[in-house]
Amino acid sequence: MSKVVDALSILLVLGASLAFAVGVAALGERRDLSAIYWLAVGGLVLRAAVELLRPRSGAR
Amino acid sequence: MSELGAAHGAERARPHSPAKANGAGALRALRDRMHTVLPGLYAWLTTVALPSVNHSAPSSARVTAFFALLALLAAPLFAGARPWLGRALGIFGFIGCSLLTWLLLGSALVRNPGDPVLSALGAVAFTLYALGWGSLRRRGVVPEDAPNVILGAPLQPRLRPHPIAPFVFGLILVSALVPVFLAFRVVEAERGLFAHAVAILAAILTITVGARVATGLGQPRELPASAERLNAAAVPLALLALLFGLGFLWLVVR
Repeated sequence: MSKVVDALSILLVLGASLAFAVGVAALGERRDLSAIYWLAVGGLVLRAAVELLRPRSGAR
Repeated sequence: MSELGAAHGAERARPHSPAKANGAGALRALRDRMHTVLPGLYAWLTTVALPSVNHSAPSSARVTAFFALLALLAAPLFAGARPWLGRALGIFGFIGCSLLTWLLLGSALVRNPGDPVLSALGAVAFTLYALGWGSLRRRGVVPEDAPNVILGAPLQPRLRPHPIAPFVFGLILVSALVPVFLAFRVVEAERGLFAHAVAILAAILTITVGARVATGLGQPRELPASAERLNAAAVPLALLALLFGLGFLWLVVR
């Protein structure tokens, strides 16, 4: 189970950086709404990776 | 002490002329701070001196560029005896005079002949210069020889990193740098500045989380039950699902 969590967290971090890259590229192409969308997706994916690794004590 | 050592000691004790001693001391100080002087010199040459020698550059910019060089070279001389003065000259003096030069250059700065490759290399040199002013262990000094070290058996690390951890971190590092490179493709100045800021923030966040992921690989951890873990990640996952739903709706409507 631990290996699955490790693999999932790696995929989430890589996915977050991909979303950030798409967001920055959209920013350069003057697609502001798309840029905001992808940057928000990147932030949330990164947040999910953190929560998956170390859930908050309050949630336990 | 051996004879050779005694001879060297006698040679060291032999009085030198004050000018020669000062010169040798200055050279030694420069050599000791080579990790800051060399990148600083490169950064100054590529980003400050080169634009300042243009025909269109104002004389005031050349003067401030010269002062920046003076501050850069004078900082190591004071770093030993008066560290606060050395840091003030090296950090505030050098960076401040460089900034002033760029401000005075105005539009002449854009016509830098080596731009943008030299400017990018200069930015890297400025980064190395900034890192060089951090606290570094001097060459040859063993930390365990310090008087405050607690004697005893060396402490062993509790956990060892997983063999693939460096590769995972390298992969995450490369992926985190992709937005930074993409930001250079933004043409408009204001938009480009914002893109750079966003890209750097994204890279910092990705590398921070990535480092945590890489160091935690394969480590025995006591994870709570699946339901509790899902509860912990529920809010970001729900927001993510909402965003994906909105994105899908947007694609359909458009």
